[in-house]
Formats: sequence, structure tokens, C-alpha cells
Amino acid sequence: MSDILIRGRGAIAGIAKGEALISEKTIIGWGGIDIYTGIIVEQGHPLEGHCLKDKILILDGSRGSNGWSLFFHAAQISGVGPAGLIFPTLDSRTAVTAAVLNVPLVTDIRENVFQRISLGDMVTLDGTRGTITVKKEKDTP
Amino acid sequence: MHLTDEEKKILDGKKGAAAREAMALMVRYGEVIGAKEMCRVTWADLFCGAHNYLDVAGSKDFDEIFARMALCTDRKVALDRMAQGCICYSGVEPDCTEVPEKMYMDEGKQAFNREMLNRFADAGVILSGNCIPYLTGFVPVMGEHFVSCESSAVLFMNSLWGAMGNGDGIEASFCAAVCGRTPVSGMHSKKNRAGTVEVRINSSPVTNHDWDMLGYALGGMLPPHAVPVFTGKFMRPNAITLKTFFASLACAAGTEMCHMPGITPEAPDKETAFQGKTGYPVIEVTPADTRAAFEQVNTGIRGSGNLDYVTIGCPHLHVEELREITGFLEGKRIHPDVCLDIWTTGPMKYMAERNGYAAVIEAAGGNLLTGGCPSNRGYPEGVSGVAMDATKQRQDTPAHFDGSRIFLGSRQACLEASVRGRWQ
Repeated sequence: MSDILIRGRGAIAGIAKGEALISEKTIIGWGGIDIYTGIIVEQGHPLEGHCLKDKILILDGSRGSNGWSLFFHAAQISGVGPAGLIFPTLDSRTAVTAAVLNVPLVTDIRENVFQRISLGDMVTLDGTRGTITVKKEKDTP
Repeated sequence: MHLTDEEKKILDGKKGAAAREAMALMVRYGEVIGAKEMCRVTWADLFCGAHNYLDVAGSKDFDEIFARMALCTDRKVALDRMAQGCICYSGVEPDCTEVPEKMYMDEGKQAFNREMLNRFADAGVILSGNCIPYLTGFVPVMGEHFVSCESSAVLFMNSLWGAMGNGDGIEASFCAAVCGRTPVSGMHSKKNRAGTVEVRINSSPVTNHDWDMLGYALGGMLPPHAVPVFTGKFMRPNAITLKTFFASLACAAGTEMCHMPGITPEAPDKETAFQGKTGYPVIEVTPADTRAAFEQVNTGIRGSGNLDYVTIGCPHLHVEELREITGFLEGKRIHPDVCLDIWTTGPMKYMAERNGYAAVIEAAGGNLLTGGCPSNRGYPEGVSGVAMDATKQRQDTPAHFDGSRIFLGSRQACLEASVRGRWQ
């Protein structure tokens, strides 16, 4: 097993460490998250049943209505928000969500993180330097 | 990020503590997205009132809630005035506050909701009570910068009017309205408004329902962050049909801007829509795609069953749609086991009353409501058979509902089922 290093742009400073909560299919914000438990409740989504709390959330883009940031924000206020964010490319909703949560963020990542990071991998991100270190749960074949 | 002297003053707190906190969030947002400057926001469509999500703040103090949930700060600041020169609408409401006897909120929450709305009104917010600001006097014109908490409204005003706004969210909209600025990024910048993908519509949409399904189907087809340019042979949709289309498209795909050559103002032709760029991807939407989308979103498709609740009016209805509904309901009676809620906004309801439409709807046993919708108000307790005519509303139904008993269909099908008391 080896560590993987991925580089991007650090957009919100600080270091965060946690399990990767990752899906190539981004989630619906409004109605997709239980704001009291942080559990993703979007029916049929690959992350349905997973909890945001203390995770490194890795998604590309947003879906659903404008109330995207609000659901992550409300979960954070309930004490069940993510520890850090990896948004490979930003749109206005994901950018605002990062600004609102004000937790470490790495963005502008050229390589395909969805091929290199798996659900549950231990990820450390440095939002100052723009680096991501991944400890693989299993060796990628 | 470059800030003007006036913007620096706002950030330094010279225009008040609320504006300072709002500006701080806008600067952080701008830095995250890599913006170089701010623009002045002259229209803001907000999300005012005692909405359910605010309960996480665990407070009944307006300023405490507003500071935490909208300005995103733990500092104690009071909202005094919205930014000068920014016309603010209160947006969609948590319940039907103009029809108190039909509200689901308990009296304590009703009183708190009124208190919140009054505080916003005191700060200069116009109580609008709808999700269709663009049909009720909220009119940023071409090149004017706006914010809106309503995703469909963002897509509508960017695409059809050439106004400039992002679907960036509720906190961002509040902060922009309080400090009067938002970062120049996304749709606030002309270059980002160029088409990125051509979508050939070969599904021949005609009715509102067809356009709703088309928008939903595109949710699974468009690449992320797309600005679609719609081509193909289709009957020219009017603004009422586009209201439906934009609601489903914005909700399913997160689309903030699109072009329709010959219809939308930044697309006199296809080349202009792409701002001269070539080599863009082309996708085609076939009747099979929209049919598959319908089968996916309409989880009750193969079922039939008794209905308790039917909701129509997502987005809020134009008075012309109320007129059409009246044509169907005249002389009919809603089944006694069914609650039919029809959602619009105050000014439309006023016209519906003046024209006698409201009386017909009420005589048939339907409720003509304003302000909110089931996504915000919630569903009646204990309902199990539910019908609706909008994919956006369908995506917001509570997760614990039995999907096989949620029926989605055309407005006509919903009205017929309301009378029959059964979906079949």
C-alpha cells in the first residue's frame, strides 16, 4: 500500500483529515441531506445512507435547486458537517458552499480524482498548499 | 482580488456591521472562485421567513438567526437596511401566509414567521411571496446584475432577458443584498455565457408536460457546468412554457443559462450563442430519452390508486394557467377525499379573483393558495396517494413517502384524477 499525492489549488487554508466521501455523481442539495444527522437521503444515490460528519467531501459540481449550500451549512450548524472539501472544478454553488462552510478546500485539479480516490480512503488535504494525500484502503488494481 | 475604495469601506465596517460580514463572505467566495473584482447588484430575490432549515440555529432571535444562517458569522450583528440601490424581493414563503386558515405552521411559528417578514420589510425588502419574481415586477434587464435564491428564476432571467446572475445560493444572495456586491464570476461575466454544448431537440415538445420531461431528461445527459444551446425542430415555446422547462432543467441539471437561437436575446443565431467558438459537443434528445426520463421520475407510473392530495403550481402559476384550469373545473367537483392545492402568487390571485377564476376553483372544492408550496410548507399529515404535475416538486417529496404512490403526470391528468379521486 502506498500514499498518493494529488495537487490542485488551495482555495481555503487549513489542514483537514478524514475519510473520503466521494461520488462521481454529485448529490442534490435541497432535500438530499438530512440537516440534523448529516446523512445523505437522496434516493438511489451511491452515497445514500452515508454521513457528512467529519468526512472529506469530494464532488464535482452541484445538482438540484439553489439551496445547495444551505443544506451543507445547516448540517454544519447541527455539528454534522464535513471536515474538508475537494471540488475538482468549481461552479457558483460549490464555490459558495466552500465559502460558507469555511473549511479547507482544494480545487482546480487536473487529474481525475474519481479514479484515484475511493470511498472510505483516508485523505489529508492541505488547503494552503493545495495538496491532497490519500492513504489507500485497498491497493488500486 | 481588487476592491474599490467603497468596497473596502464596506469591508471595514463603515457601512455597518451586517454589511461588513456580508462583504467578508463575498470576498471569501470571490477568492475561492478566483474572481478579480466585484459587481454591483441591483436586484435581489431572497428567501425570507421562518423556513424550516432555520430551526437548526436553535434560536428565536431574528438577528442571531440572520447572522448565523445568512451572513454566516458567529458575531452578533443586527440587520438594519439592505444595500442602497438594490431592490429586494422576499421570495418564496414557508407557508401560505395570505391564507392563514390553510397554513400548516402552528400559531407560534406563524407569529414568528410574521415577525421575521416584518423585520425584512423594515429593512426595505418587498414582501413578494413567490418563486416567479420575473413575472411579478422583478425585472433586471440585459447586462444588469441580480441574485436570486430561485434556481429556475436564475435560468429564466439569464437566458430570456440577458440579465446576469448565478444560481449560487441562499446565503450568497442574502449577503449580496446586504452589501450590494457579488464577485464577477460565472454568469456575471460575458465570456462564461457562451454556449458549451449543442442540444438537438428531436423529442418534439409541445405541452408544458413535454418540456418538463425534456428538462428532467437533460439532467442525466448534460455535462457538468453546461451552457446548452437548443437547436432542432420544436414549436416555439412561450414564457409560461419556458417557466416550466427552466424549473425542471435548473433543478435536474443545475443549469444557470441556456440559449435558443432566434428566441433568447444573446443568441440571434447559433454562432453568436457560442460566441464564435467551434468544436463543441453535440447531444441529441430523442423521444426515447424523454420517455425514459418520465419512467424514472414517475415512480408511480405502473400503479394506480386512490389519491389524498394533488398539488399543481410548480413554479407558481401565471393567471393564464389559472384560466385554463378554470376551463376544466367549471361545473365539476373535486372528489371529497382529495385535497387539491393550486399554488400561485398574490398579484396573479388578484387577477384570478377579478376574472372569476378563483370562484370557479373554490366552487369545485380546490384551494387557491399563494406564497409557498409543498416543498416549503410540507404535505398534509398522513397522505399516501399524491399526484403532481412538476418534476421539480417530485424531486422534493419527502424521502419516507412510498414512491409507488406518488404519481406524476400532465396538469390535465392531475385535474382529472382530482375529480375521480383516483390515479389510473
